[in-house]
Amino acid sequence: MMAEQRTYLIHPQKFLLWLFIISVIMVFGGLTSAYIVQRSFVRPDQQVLFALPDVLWYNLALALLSSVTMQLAVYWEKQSQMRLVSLALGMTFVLGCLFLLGQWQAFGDMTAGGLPFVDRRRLDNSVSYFYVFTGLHGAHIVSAVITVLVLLIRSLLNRFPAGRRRLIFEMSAVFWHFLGLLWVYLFVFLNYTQR
Amino acid sequence: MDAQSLISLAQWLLVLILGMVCANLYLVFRLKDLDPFARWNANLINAWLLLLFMIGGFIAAAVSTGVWKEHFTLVFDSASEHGEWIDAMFWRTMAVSIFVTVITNVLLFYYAWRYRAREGQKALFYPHNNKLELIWTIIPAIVLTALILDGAFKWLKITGPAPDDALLVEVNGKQFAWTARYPGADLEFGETNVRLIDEGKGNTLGFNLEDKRGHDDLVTNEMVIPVNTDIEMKIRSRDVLHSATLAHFRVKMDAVPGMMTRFHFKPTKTTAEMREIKGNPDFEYEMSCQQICGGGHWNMRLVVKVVTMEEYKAWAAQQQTFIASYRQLNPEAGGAQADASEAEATAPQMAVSR
Amino acid sequence: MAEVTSHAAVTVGGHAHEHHDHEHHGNFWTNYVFSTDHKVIAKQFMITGIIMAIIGIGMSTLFRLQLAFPDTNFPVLEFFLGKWAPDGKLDPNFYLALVTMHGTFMVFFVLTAGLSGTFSNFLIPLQIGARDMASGFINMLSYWFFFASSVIMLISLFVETGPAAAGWTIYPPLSALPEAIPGSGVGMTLWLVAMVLFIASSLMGGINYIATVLNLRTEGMSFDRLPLTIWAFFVTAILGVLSFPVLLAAALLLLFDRSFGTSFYLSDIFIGGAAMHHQGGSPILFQHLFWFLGHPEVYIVLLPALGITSEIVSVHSRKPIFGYKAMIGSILGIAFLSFIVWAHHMFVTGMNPFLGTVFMLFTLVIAVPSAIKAFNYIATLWKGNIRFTTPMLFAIGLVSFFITGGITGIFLGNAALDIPLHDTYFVTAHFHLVMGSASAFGFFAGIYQWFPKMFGRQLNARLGYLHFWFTFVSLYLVFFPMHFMGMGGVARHYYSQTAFDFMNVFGDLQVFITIAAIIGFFGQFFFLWNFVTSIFWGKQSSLNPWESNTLEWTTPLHPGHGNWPGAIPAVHRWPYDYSRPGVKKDYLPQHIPDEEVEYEEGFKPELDPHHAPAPKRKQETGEKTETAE
Ligand code: HEA
Ligand code: HEA
Ligand code: CUA
Ligand SMILES: [Cu+2]
Repeated sequence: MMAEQRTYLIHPQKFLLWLFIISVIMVFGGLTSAYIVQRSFVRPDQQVLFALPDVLWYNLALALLSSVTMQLAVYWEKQSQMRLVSLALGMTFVLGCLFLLGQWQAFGDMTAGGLPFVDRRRLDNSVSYFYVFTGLHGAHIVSAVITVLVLLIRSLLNRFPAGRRRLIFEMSAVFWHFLGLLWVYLFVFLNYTQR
Repeated sequence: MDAQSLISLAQWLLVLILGMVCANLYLVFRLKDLDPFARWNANLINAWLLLLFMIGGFIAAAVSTGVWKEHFTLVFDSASEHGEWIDAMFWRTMAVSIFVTVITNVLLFYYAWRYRAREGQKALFYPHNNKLELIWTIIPAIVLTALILDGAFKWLKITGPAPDDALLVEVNGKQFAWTARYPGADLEFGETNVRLIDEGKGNTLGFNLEDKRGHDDLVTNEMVIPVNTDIEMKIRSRDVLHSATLAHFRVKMDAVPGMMTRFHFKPTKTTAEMREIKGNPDFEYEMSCQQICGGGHWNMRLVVKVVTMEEYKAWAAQQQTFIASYRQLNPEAGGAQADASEAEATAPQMAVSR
Repeated sequence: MAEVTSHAAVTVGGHAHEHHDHEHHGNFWTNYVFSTDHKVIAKQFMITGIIMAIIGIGMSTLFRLQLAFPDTNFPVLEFFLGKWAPDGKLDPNFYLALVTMHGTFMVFFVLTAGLSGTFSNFLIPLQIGARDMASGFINMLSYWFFFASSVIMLISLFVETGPAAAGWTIYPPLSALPEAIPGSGVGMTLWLVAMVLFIASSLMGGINYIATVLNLRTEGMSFDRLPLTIWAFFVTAILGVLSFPVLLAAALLLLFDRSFGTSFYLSDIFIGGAAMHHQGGSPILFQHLFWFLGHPEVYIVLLPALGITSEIVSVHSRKPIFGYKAMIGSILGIAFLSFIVWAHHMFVTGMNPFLGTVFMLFTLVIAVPSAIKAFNYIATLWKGNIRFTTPMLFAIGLVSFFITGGITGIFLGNAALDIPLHDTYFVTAHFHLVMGSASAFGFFAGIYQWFPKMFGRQLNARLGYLHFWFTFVSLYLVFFPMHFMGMGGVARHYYSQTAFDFMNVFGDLQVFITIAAIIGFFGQFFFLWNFVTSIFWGKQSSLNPWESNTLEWTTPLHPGHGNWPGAIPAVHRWPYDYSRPGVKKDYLPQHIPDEEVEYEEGFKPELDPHHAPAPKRKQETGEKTETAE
């Protein structure tokens, strides 16, 4: 009968998550530099400058708020208050869904405002990049929302793999916060470059 | 290669394969104690084989270089000014490379042979020697610094701007041909736009007919350039990437749709001179395409003629301007015939300076 | 370092079931197909890699036939390829498709996934003393993504318009426009989809390798005691995790351009008789994104091979690897530099000349750490006691190829020289020697070295020798003469050299190369035969057939899931104590404690000048505690 117990600076699986986050950062890093490079190709008089849809401001607030609720869930989980945990997760889930709806709304606003994903007359691709940035981020959010939903169901049923509950919560929270931060970055970046 | 030699080749291969298969089966199924190779000392054989391989390899490399070197177009007999710098640098780098490659490969195979395992021999425990390691860090670093400086200066010089009086030529790549364009008497290219391309009407470059500067442009299917003249070559593509390559002039630059690239060079040998050097009366300079661009990539050929300035002017005078040939093809677009003849008349004065 | 986080003790790799050496629990599916055991996954990667290699090499012989006999018809080709070889002559578009798929298969599927997937998976846990990867499940997913990717890539060979044909670098607009080349239709879409899966697989593999090396080393296995194999795999994984995502971004934008009509890479295009709407994009942008991965990628291909070589050269010379720390330093140096040289593939795309000098500087600087490696290998041989086993022969061959091929990189890295040489066979010669030969030899060397550990049996040495000599000689014969064609200006991606007078003089050389390639191709059957038969009927191996120091040889002949039936051995020294003076045997495994070392008669260990072994020992107390239940 063999089993080893080890203490780690950081749990290997959590570490895996961090490495995954690094690779997500590299994807967005690649896109960011592509965006910057392509802007340098565009003659100033052909640049398309657009104001980000207002709904994105609300989304920024939603993202930050959802991080708070997510952290609350982690906090209550440590105290094993599973009812409260479910509550916090429920809120996070709802906020996440609202965020996605908001992004969808933003797409709609942009398209309605004459800035669709594909525009045959446009000389500046910034608008297309906007869709790629937000869309790709949104795809990650979808996966995170699904994760939260699974967590929610599990905590409602109070069923977790033995001894791994805390780890699962911490990892989900790290991912969630990361996506929130990523959104803050994208928002600031897009806002700044569209000045 | 004719069918006969092919068949003999195929037979040869077949024999070889069969031989290999037999050797395979023999080795695998042979009973151990009957195996005549059992007493062979594999260590000794392999050590010697490595040594022989190295010696044979160097001899083969030297001999075959001798056999093929007359075809080394890219490194001998450059026909342009900067090409001579490149050739010289190539051979400097080659000297360093041969030296390094020979030394390291000789040591590698010699040590392998010399220190093959022997009964009762023990290796020397020698995990590191900082001084030695420092030496072989610093020496390559110095050599490389020299190569970098050498290369960087040449590179900046080659890619630098052309003198103001350089002759303008534009090459346009498309699947799968090159077209050359000269700016005509006004020394300015007319505006073009892919959206105006109309193959049926012979407007293959997409001239904007409104732009009068383009009317006297010359569009040709061969490139003729005067010797000992600075040439500023503009390079464009209308569909996918191509790469305008003049091997004899050491010129290469990609043609990128939506973007204009350029290369400046100065041919130093006329086609006639080169024919003499090569001893080949049919020799022509050729522009090839060296960026994968589709099924006809291998066949994107443009003949380039380097001639004297007088010959060049005479040639240019004979060419039809774009607008003249356009109107010929599209009489209905006629308009003022006078316009055309006017443009034609200017062609002989085709100047060389910008 | 940071404080220990709240989850004080976490159980990892704990196995609730008993281990008997030969017995496996679970059924066929969980043991051999959806296994989470790193050793099984490694074999899966290896076998898939070998299959892809055979296909890739087979493709190269096909298009070599065309290059050697551009005007000859081979009716059998029509029989096999149908419309792609009308009258037994390859179609030019299909020629390009073959070259593209050959490059893709070889670079990504064989030498990235195949090489790293096999040896990182197999050796990392075994050599650092871990029961398995940080996450066996992600590891398994990594293989199955790779498998799916391979299958899709293979399917793309059979679609109506043919597989992708825009070169393995898939530069748009060629790759973006089906009108430009048939391969850019469905074939290209499948290529991109397969690549996305491939990237996912690489990332899952890579993060696993990193996490495992950082977290799961056994007691005493500090970083200055890691075998150089592990160092190489570790750094390779870091390269992958940082560079593959950028390819993902590039592929994504290309997919949008292809499918939705965006203009990220496209601008001002007239094709198929009509102008396209695209405006404002730039094909150069794609090249930057691609080579930001592409260049690190070539070192992702090379570094594991070099790591394997370091280990093998040392073991079979019975000598410590010369300059262990310099070797680590040069791995790190190469890895760092590889991120800032990518534009050396783009010297003649019209980039800013000043930028060109910067990239040229970094490119040539890479030769310095590479030189250190080359010289250290040679110094390791010096005064060794060299056993010419098959892995050792391949390792020596690798060093020779690496030097010969790397040197030509110095020509190409010089921007001015790259003007004429770019996209000629000089480049083809360069990368085949350094990648198609050196890295491929790393793969072979690794298989010959660790086959006994993988299958508990030995490969037939004599077939191995034959394989080595056939391959070594034929690879030099194939790729060395390509330099001549390069210096003659022969362009890459040419279906036939007959259109240009100055290229059309190499016909005989082309025939020679093709013959050598075919011989090399058939030489591989020695290996395949040997490999397949030895798995089943090979001679039983001993526990430590090469008398090596590393931990993998302390496991049973057929290690079960979990690797060691008892406790994981602790490590007491670096892995390269070969021929230590005074020590009885000429090797001293890592797991033997100092007290148990057998010295020669009359030898006083206190007087041993090497008593404090070269790399200092550092006790990592507190970082890690191991308790066996
Ligand atoms: C395993 C893969 C691998 C490796 C290791 C390398 C190593 C190097 N490569 Fe190569 N390269 C490729 C794979 C690789 N390459 C591929 C696949 C392509 C083509 C892609 C395509 O277009 O399809 C390519 C193309 C390529 C180009 C672009 C050519 C072109 O398209 O025009 C350049 C240009 O700089 C280059 C440079 C180098 C250099 C400087 C090194 C250096 O790292 C080499 C360093 C090693 C040595 C120098 C030898 C050992 C050193 C000594 C013995 C010391 C003494 C030496 C001196 C003092 C000079 N490579
Ligand atoms: C790993 C990389 C690799 C390998 C091994 C090879 C192997 C071979 N290559 Fe290839 N080649 C490429 C990578 C490789 N190639 C790439 C990237 C391109 C560019 C594609 C493009 O431009 O899009 C290219 C292009 C290319 C061309 C240029 C085509 C053109 O531009 O028109 C040619 C021409 O002769 C060629 C020939 C060959 C031949 C004859 C072999 C072989 O026959 C040599 C025989 C090889 C062996 C016998 C050993 C192989 C062994 C392994 C790979 C290890 C596998 C491991 C196990 C089986 C365990 N290759
Ligand atoms: Cu045009 Cu290649
Ligand atoms: Cu590179």
